[in-house]
Amino acid sequence: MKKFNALIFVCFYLLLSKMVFAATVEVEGKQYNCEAPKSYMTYVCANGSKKIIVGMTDGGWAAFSKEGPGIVSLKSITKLIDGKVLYQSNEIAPYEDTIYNRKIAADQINFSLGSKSEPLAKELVSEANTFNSNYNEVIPSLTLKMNEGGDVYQCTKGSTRPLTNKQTSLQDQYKTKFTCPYYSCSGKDPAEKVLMVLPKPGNTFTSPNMLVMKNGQAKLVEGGYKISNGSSLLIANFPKGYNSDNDDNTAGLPPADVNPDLLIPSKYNDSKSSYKYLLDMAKKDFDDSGYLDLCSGNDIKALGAERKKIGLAMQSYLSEAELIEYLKVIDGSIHSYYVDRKKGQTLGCLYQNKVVDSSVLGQYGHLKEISTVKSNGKYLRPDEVQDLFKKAKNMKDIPFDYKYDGCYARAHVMSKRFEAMGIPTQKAWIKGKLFVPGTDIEWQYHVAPTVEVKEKNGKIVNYVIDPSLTDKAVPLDEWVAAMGKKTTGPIMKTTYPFPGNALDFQRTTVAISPSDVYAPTDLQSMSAEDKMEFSTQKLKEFTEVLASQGKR
Amino acid sequence: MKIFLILILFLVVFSSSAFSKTLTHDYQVTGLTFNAEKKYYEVTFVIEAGIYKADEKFFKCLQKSLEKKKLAKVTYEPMGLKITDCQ
Repeated sequence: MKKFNALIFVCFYLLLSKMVFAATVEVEGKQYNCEAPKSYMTYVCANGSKKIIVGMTDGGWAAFSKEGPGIVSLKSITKLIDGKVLYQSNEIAPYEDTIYNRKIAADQINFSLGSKSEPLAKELVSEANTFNSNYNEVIPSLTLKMNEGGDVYQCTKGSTRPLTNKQTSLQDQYKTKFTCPYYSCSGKDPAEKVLMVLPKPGNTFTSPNMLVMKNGQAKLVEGGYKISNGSSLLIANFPKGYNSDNDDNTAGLPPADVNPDLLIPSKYNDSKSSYKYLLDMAKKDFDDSGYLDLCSGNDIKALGAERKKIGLAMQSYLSEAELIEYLKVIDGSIHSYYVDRKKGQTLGCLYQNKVVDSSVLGQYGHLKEISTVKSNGKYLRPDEVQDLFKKAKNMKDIPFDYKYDGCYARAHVMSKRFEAMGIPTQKAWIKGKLFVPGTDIEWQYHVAPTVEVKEKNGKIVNYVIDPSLTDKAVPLDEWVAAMGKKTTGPIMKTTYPFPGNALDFQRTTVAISPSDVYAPTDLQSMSAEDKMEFSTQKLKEFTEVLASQGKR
Repeated sequence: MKIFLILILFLVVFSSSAFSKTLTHDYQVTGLTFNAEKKYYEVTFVIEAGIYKADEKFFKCLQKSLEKKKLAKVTYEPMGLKITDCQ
């Protein structure tokens, strides 16, 4: 009987607690019991006398609470259970009471709880509105203290130019203020020029950062500092990498298969952190979404000009940087990259003046095969090579008039046919940003068959057979000259495989390979049959394209 | 007159189909560069030599192929290499 009573008691307790506490939530290690939601996706929860509301923000589930008169907070939650786990995340840094975070909380409360009927929701909205009415968006001067090293910078906000009518109306419409977001800062080193940006609370598109410029170098510091204005409450505490999408790919140059540091010229070793940022800005002609344009003060304009100067110098140096080719096996194939010469020299042994990574050693036989052009001493005469060109041009199944793409297929089919005629054939490659003059045709690379010709003076010269580009067989240099190039750097003669990132350094590369090589990337998985089948299929497809245009 | 009209109709149908011809292939993206002047992405693929052009709306699909080294189903106009779809 006693057991039965105990069972009844337990069942009753569980039923009661289920009726009262519909859910539980974990916030910063504390568990709160929540009432059944009255409004959609809104839980009123309590831990002792502490009450919170759990609701959806534009960034997911969060807990809102009142911390004092006109003080509200927004905390991340780690677990929400309502019958089943509705949300779970890893431990998140605890909420810190700063002006910045109070503002984010106030705005999110209005967004999430503005239409809710729970008394606590209404109370929080009222507190948030009180906070907002006292909040001053413009912070004219502030102190920035680095978390590491403790360096201190005094910063002054840039003045804002008069707004246009359109900007004024947008400002009114969105109840915001358009102000110059930049600060000019000074620290203990008078030679440093520091441009700091403090995005508005809740702006997740811009990371708080400071660009410390000195002697043509620049360091980009994204978080890792506290901001105050003399009062006991911090304006903000930004941990390192706060809101930043810069995932340490400091070079900003693809691919991530090599250490990005190798891609940064030694000259800019002191600017590793800003290298990607400034090169990206240079590519966009220093468009910072109109931020600098909002500023009128000479101090900010001068800092913006210094930033541009360094970025342009980095961009222009790309074509001059001293580089070395670095061979590495990635995904089973041998790839080549240009890397900084000084940094690259220590990465492995040399082969054909390229640094070879240890991963290539297992494929040394294959490397030799694709990178070495064998001459068997059989050369064509100048008249024979022109005859060969005519024969190629008359190959009716090759659509030479389709120039947008397909050179790899044309080159492969021609090469194999020349070889079947007993003519030793290789392939000539050019990689860069190429265009066919007078057309809208652009190529990332181009390839065509090449044969060795003994000229009348006895000189052996590679002639290229490329009816899609020239009207006769031409020496390699003439073929290279026939294409327009949108790069500012030099033309580099090398061997296959040639660097896939040459364009990032404004280089155009030229190489000759055996005829079996099919694409700029070493495609070991493609058999000879695959290559021929793919080529034939592509040529057929492009022939049909021309036919549909009435061009064949 | 009837024959003339039929001929015109045939030409209209033929030319519109010619202009609207697209190709679809599975390609792996190797490069994505925004051309700020022309407001489109310049796209390169593993084997293809041409520089393809893509509207910003295809960026995510193309970026996924680039980052994951996976094939994307790309539809494009062979005359001009304008990408019209990516999946």
